[in-house]
Amino acid sequence: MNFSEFKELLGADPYSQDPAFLRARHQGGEFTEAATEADAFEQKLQQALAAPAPEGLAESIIGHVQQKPGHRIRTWQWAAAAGLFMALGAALVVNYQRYQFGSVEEYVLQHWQHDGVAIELQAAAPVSSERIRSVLTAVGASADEAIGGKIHYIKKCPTPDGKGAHMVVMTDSGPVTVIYMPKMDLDKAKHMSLESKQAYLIVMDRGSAALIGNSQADLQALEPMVRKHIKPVDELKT
Amino acid sequence: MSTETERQRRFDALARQYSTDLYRYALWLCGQDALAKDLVQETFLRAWRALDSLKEQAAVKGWLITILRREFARTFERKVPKFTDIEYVVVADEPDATPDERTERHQIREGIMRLPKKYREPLMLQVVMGFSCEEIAQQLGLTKSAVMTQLFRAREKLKTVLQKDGITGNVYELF
Repeated sequence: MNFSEFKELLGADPYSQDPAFLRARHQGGEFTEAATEADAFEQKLQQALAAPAPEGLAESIIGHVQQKPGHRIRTWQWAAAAGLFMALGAALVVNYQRYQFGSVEEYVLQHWQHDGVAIELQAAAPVSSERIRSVLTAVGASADEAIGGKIHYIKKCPTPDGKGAHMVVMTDSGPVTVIYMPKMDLDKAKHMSLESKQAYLIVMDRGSAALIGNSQADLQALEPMVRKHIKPVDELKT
Repeated sequence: MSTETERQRRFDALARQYSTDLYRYALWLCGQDALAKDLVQETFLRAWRALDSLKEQAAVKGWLITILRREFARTFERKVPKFTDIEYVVVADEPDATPDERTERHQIREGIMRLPKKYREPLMLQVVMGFSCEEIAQQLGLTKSAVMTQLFRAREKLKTVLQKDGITGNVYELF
């Protein structure tokens, strides 16, 4: 097996048990070097893909199936089942709607728990204005120069109804995460607690935004700045 | 031991042995935790109903994946995913990992979700399910050489994305 063949097989099937491939792995030089590099990549890949399964998954599957044996059902059981079925149907409709549309609070909580802290920790220096423009344009918005130097992190993020933007804005009382959700509407501003942080959900000209900061942060005072500087693109044009 | 008890025992063993891998595979296939759980539940429900048709124990993993892939196809015929643009999969906190490792894994997951399905799926079958190239070819109805090409390209694309994103570099350059 020459090196080119070895590299191809290594890229396609690093787990191959082909004897010639296994011999090549250990023959030293560029072969072993490539194999070591590939093994390190596979290890990272495996770790990233090993998402923890929900707790008790197997037992819930077993329980689910055990509830469905073909035992005889009496008339009263049919009646009870019909009532239960209707109640479940109603509950499912309600839950489906919740699932489909979600609430801003649910989304913010999930999003924050996922990567909020990690992102905040990485917000070290102001982001370039090109970067800000690129992300905000992608979500149909724009920011004026005044807020530019304060944004220390920005990326697009998925929201239940379309793309949003995740930013970290540096303030006198520390970093404040701003999650802009142009496709998620909110009736009115509201506070919510978020682990060790506080969050303030605000109504934007289009959609909504969540401001998340530490307990000292005056999030309400930040609202006008965020509302003033982050605008839907079509509004800025007019 | 009665036939029914034996059947139940056999099913329980399958659920305990394969539910985690199937969940992971489903998660990377569809990108959503809730849908992945539903897919796995439905897969095992169908497996339970058809358990008597499973004669070869060695074929069980492929059999379960076939059921899951069919169910996934059926699901997407009738349901639009919640997130219109899935860029990452939400994975529970991993307390054993350092912040750098968590960031790196997050970036790899994003890279994986950005892979086209034709590259992502064989890669998941290989890495998550431990399928050989022959088994993947059989599952996807492709030739072994086509599968190997897709796997090679999947890894190359993933490495390119990660290098471009600077896996150990600036997180701002992710997108």
